[in-house]
Amino acid sequence: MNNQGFDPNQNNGFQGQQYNPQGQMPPQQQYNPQGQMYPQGQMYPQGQMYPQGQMYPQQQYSPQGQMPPQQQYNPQGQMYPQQNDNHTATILCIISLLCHFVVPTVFTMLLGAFGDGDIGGSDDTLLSSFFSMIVCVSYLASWVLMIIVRVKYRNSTFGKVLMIIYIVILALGIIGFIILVAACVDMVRHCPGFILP
Amino acid sequence: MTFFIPELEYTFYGPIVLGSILIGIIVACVLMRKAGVERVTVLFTALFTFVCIIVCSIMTSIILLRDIHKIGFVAAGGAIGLMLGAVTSVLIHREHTREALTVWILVAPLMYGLSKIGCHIAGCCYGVPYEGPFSIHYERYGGAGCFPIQLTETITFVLIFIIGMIVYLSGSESISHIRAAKVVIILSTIAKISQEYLREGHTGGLLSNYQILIFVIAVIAYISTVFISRMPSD
Repeated sequence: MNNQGFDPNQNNGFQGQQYNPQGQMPPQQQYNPQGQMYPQGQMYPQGQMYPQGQMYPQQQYSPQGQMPPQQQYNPQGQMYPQQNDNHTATILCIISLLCHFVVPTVFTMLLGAFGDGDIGGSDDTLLSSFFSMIVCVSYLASWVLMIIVRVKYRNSTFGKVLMIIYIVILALGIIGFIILVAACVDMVRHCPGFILP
Repeated sequence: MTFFIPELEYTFYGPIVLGSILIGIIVACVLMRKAGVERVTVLFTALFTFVCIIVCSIMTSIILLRDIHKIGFVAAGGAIGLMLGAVTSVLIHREHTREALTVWILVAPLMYGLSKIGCHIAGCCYGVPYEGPFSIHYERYGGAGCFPIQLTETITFVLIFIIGMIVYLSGSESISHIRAAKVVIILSTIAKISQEYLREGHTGGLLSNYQILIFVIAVIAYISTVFISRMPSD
């Protein structure tokens, strides 16, 4: 029993519309709806009447501005990423960057150096096909990693930047393809007597 | 009644194929949103599936032709890319898994059917020699009559899409949505393999490599559908 004569371990005196002069939360309301305990030793506004038959307001937080436990969870009930998760997100983003830019560049250079269908011989075309497939798979893997980062680590700034870069590059590629087609059509029109095969 | 296709400066084959893919993606996005999928999930799925369709189509042409100087778009590769993109997105997001996969399988015949309009105008993938009703005469091939295989495929696959949509919308439970995906896979496979015999490029044997590839893709798609249907929907 405390000095006010109130035993916090008992549910006496706290009914639907009773005032709490000390502003202390009744014992059964020390837990949020997820069953977690509110920070102890924190005072709640004094003289406030408890709503009848209702749990303590969800938006209440301690005077120190500490976020109550239920706000550490997103609407899907998943915990927001902690500090060590940013490290995982960064690693995934770096691998994605490597797959998007470095691997295709390296294998395209190898393709130019070693694989050429005009040289003849099935080995050269197989090698160029193999290198081309690695470039394509690497490009797709970069997208997969970026999407995984954006889904699982939503707060990662690196992931957001990566997403914007990839989308911009894709859009520029599509625009470039359209311009290339239009340029080819225009060139063909200006060739006198040229007949398309 | 016959069709005469003159030799055109530019056939707009690429824009038509790209447009058919975009139309399919838009329809899939609308259906995903109607199923209750989040906007961010729809955006990522659409982006990734589009990238997969393009990249896998190019990769398939490299594998089949074995010459990087002859790369192009192959329908089978596009189907592989669509399944790869849809299944990967479903496994990453784990949200409305059955509906998210089903809608992409539903729009695949729509994309393919509309892209065949480009083939019809361009004169590629033309049919066997044929002089009956609705035969196609291409100026570039000397004016001989061909079977209208491209238009036949357009009509067939758009019909398959409509049938799939009817099955999808007729039931409200996710199990009926998966049933629509299976129906579309089976009908599309039968239609594609059977109509390959009406194409001039068919080798003449019982089954061409391309028909075998179509069958393998269909089996993989069916197994993926069964696997996803056994996952929790959310």
